[in-house]
Amino acid sequence: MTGFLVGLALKNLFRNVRRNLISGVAVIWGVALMILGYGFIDGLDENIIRTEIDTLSGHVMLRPQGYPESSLSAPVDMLEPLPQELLAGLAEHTWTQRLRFDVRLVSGPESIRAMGVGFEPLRDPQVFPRDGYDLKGAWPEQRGLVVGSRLARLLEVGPGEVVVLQVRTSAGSINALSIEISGVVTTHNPAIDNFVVLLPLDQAMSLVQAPGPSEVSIRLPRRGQADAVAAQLDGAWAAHTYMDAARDMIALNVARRKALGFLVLMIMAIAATGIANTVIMATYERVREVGALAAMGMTPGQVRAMFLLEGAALGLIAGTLGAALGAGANYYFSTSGVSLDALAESGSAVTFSTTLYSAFRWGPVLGGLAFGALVAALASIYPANHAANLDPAVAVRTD
Amino acid sequence: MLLKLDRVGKRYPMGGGHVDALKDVSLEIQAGEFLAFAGPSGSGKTTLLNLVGCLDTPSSGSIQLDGQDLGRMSRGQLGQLRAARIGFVFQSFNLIPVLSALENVEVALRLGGLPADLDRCEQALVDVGLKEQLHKRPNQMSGGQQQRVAIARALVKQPALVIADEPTANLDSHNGEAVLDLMRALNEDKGATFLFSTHDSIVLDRVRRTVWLRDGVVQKIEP
Repeated sequence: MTGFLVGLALKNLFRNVRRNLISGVAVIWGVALMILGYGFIDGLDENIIRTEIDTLSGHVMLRPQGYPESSLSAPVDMLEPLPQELLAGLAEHTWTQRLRFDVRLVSGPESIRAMGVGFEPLRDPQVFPRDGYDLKGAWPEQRGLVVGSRLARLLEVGPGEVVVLQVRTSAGSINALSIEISGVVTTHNPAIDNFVVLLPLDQAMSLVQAPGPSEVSIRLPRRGQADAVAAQLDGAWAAHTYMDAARDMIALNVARRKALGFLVLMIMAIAATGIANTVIMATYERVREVGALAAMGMTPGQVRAMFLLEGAALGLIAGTLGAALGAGANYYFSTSGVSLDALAESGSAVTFSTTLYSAFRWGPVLGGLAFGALVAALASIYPANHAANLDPAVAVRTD
Repeated sequence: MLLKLDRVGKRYPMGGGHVDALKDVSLEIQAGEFLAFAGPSGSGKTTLLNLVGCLDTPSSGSIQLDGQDLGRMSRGQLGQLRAARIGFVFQSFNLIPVLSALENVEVALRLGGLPADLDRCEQALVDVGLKEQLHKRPNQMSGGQQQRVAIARALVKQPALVIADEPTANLDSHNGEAVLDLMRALNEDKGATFLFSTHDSIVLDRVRRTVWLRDGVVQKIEP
């Protein structure tokens, strides 16, 4: 009997294709928006985390105890050489050290504040891969400066030109260094491209007279190892994982997720109203038919099931179309990406990659599809009950 | 005896009071009868047909179908009884438009808890002269053909009783006569019991017994 009811529900669905299609459109858009929206938010999570790991923190970052966690502050008066016990713990990992310092970049009459980063020319690329970078010029091996691309554009400088770096040393005095720009780099992370200049660590330490680096970054084979390694190394220096650095940004995405969920719920509520209306109209149009079926012995439960199945089938078909639309668009953006260059141009200091790829997962696709069917089935409960409660003696003679 | 009605009454609430649609109707109907309830509008013939068709229950008195007291049955039990033992032919045919003639007949078997035997359904349609229309949908058939499908649907489960509510009302006289002749032939060939509600002379000319009703009371029984 179940197969018969399913078959009848599907056939009834095609009685009024145009009306059902209009009712299904809201489900299609709701499911598609849900899949694509969550794909982008998941993609943004991954974007933030990957950019944080690949350009700023590595999987685990160690800093001197008491050193500020904000990347916008880089005091050099509290630095110390790397403790021996820390060096011993780092031996089994791929790691590098960096020195951050506040710097003023001067070119002729123009100057601009920036963040200086001293890096180890040989080790740094092992922790911070440069595969996606666009570099004009070259990375310095012993002396030279690489400037973030927007910073270079603002100062109108490029490779081969000489600029002056003004800093305050660890002793509090002013120091300056005339240095040739060896390269201009676009990392696609606005926090670097808009604000950072990079030079070899030895040269940087000499410039600010720092006794040691401000941070050590470790790259691990797998992200999942980060917590354990951080716990193991935490001691003389404070250990943080990439998630500690990305947490604030990820928290913003939680709010985005809630806002999207609310929007999807609103669309699905509209869809549910449309489907309920469609099924109600179907029950009023088929009173005599339902009466005849009931007279022939169809139970109220079977009448109810017939209309619920019809609503659910409408939701399933619309949900499938919505899932196909959402999944197709999500797949496209997961491979092609969306450019966020306009955001970077606004001078953002936030860490993210300017190419955002949505995250394609089957879970939201199947979830969206099921959600569409469920909403439609729930919306059909009232009209299905109405049909089930018809009196067959009256219904068979209804005009 | 197939049906026995003993002092059956049916009262409906209306406004602040009530109306008696049937009053003290007593009647005995044998298996194989070809009988009509006749009378003017409001005489109670449809109410009586609903009661003997297990679509409604009496307010007073008792109705027995094959010795079973219908008044003691729940709504669900009445539904099971209808599915298994009673066939219906409606004035407006009430076929399911998205199903073919064959599928419409099959519905009755499924609801009656019988196996969906397509050969049996096909034979029922052949019996009513629709051999060439098996796979047509109701909107591809004439009114007379649709009513024949309804008759096949009513008879396919070999019911004890066929309830036909004004079966010729939506047919022209030619088709009406053809349908009634077919029902009479099926009554004679298969022994199916037919109960009609009608005031159509086409029906009244062909039934073997007529129960005349007026104001909810049996006025006379002919012959």
